[in-house]
Amino acid sequence: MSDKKRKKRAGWKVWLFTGLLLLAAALVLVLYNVWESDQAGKRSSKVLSALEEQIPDPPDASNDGAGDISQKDSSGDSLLEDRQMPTIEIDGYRYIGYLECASAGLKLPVMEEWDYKRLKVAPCRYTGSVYKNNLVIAGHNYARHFSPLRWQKPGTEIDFTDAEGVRYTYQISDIEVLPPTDIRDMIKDSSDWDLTLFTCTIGGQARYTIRCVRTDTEK
Amino acid sequence: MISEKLRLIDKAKRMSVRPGCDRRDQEMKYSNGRRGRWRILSCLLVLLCSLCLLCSGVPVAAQESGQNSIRLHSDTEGAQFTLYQVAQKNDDGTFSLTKDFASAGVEVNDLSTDGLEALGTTLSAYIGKNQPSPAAAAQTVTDGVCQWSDLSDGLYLVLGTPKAENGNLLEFSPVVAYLPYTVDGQEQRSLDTEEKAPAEVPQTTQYSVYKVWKDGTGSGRPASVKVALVRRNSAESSVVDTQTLSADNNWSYTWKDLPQGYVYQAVETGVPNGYTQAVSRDGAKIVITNTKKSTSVTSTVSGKLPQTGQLWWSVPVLVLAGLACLLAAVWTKSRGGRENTRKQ
Repeated sequence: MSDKKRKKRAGWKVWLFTGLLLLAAALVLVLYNVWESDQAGKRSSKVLSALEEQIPDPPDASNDGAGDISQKDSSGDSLLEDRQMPTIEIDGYRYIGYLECASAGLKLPVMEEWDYKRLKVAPCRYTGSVYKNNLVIAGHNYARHFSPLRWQKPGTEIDFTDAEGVRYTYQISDIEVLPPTDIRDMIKDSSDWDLTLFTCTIGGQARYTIRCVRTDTEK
Repeated sequence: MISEKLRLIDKAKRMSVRPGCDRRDQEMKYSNGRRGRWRILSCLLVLLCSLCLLCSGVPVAAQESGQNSIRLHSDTEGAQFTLYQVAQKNDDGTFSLTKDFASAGVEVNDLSTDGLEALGTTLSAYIGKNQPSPAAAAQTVTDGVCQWSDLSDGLYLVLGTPKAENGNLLEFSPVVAYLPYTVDGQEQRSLDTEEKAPAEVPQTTQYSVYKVWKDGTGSGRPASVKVALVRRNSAESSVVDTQTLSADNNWSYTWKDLPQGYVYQAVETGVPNGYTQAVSRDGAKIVITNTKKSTSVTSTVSGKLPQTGQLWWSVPVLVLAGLACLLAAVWTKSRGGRENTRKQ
């Protein structure tokens, strides 16, 4: 039998091997993504427990000191709106508070600043401040981070509790998809929203952008 | 004929008026000549005065610099006000801090209403801590007025001493004024200003201080700053406590259990290099803002938003490619089998 004929007969084995290899790679990738998502969820849960322990009870407005009253709500207070958001340090990272979306079953700590290492632990502040009503938070689309937010509808309640224990209540007002280069639109100040959350679409080519308005105070 | 006569009479009448007109013309010419001579004399006098001034080498403005005055009107009879010169006026019209206020680290060239108000609050706390020498002796309001005269060009602060009245402590708003000032293009050297009615000092035992940074990315920002709590009443002014503000305490501090009956203020003990400080106060909240000098705000709107997605898109691609390969394997094998059968 000639070498050419032998090669032709063995060709189907090469195709079979390559196909199985590709399917195995897909399986490994799925397992890795699930594991990575699970790890991120565990890390943020651990941080959240520590954060909740350290965050004080909301200041009592009936307290004698007006200084404490001022901490009740710095938002809308022109004197304090430029103030940096207070933080709590846990495992070497500083957190500005935690985010809660009861209908999605999410409760996540939020880091003071972002980089890719931090995003693997918890959602991060991208820009802005809760006091200036222009806070923008970036979160990975892990199953236990921002992925469930993509299925929320306008009207869903979202809460943010800052490092001083002050709770801010929001409602989703709009969901839009922005291109990854549209930083200007993502961070722009607008009277139409007070909080923005964003995460990647499945393909990673665009950003699901969730705009929220404050409902606990009249603007 | 009659009409010809009438015309001649009319002509004669007009002729008779003319000599009078000539006299008036001559008088006008004479008076104009006198005025002209006066004008020439006036011009010569002005020239002479200007020459004298030039020779003396003293500019006009500087000669008038010591002629400024401030009259403060107040309804609080017996209240005491002290005048401080915060800055002197430079030749280019800008202000620079006097020696006593050099370490205050305040912006003295923002003459807007907000700028002057912030300056007043900051400097009143600074005076409480550093107790610089006043520009003139303290004045007591008599007949509703306090007056300071013979002031040089510059920026002034009038600070009222807190006044105890009916068991309450009254605090006066600081008044910041610059002299000379301009109204409708006219330079004014005398300022009449009214002191707002004094406010009751809040009955609280807690005061909080917050630090605000206006420095863009924060590069060059110190790791911490020290803040002094100053208290004042009608008798004294002193530093009660000093605290360090840093990221560890979220750049804020609350003083608790403070004795009542004092005006409390906070001010930095030393302003970080390259920054100015501005103190604002609302009740028991004190905010100290440090602004970086000549901060250029650059917005980072270029680049891409963070990649916050996992590698999911490649999963269906890999699966499809794998399935295609498996199909190719089946097809190749079945084609090889058919070829063998045909040969047999």
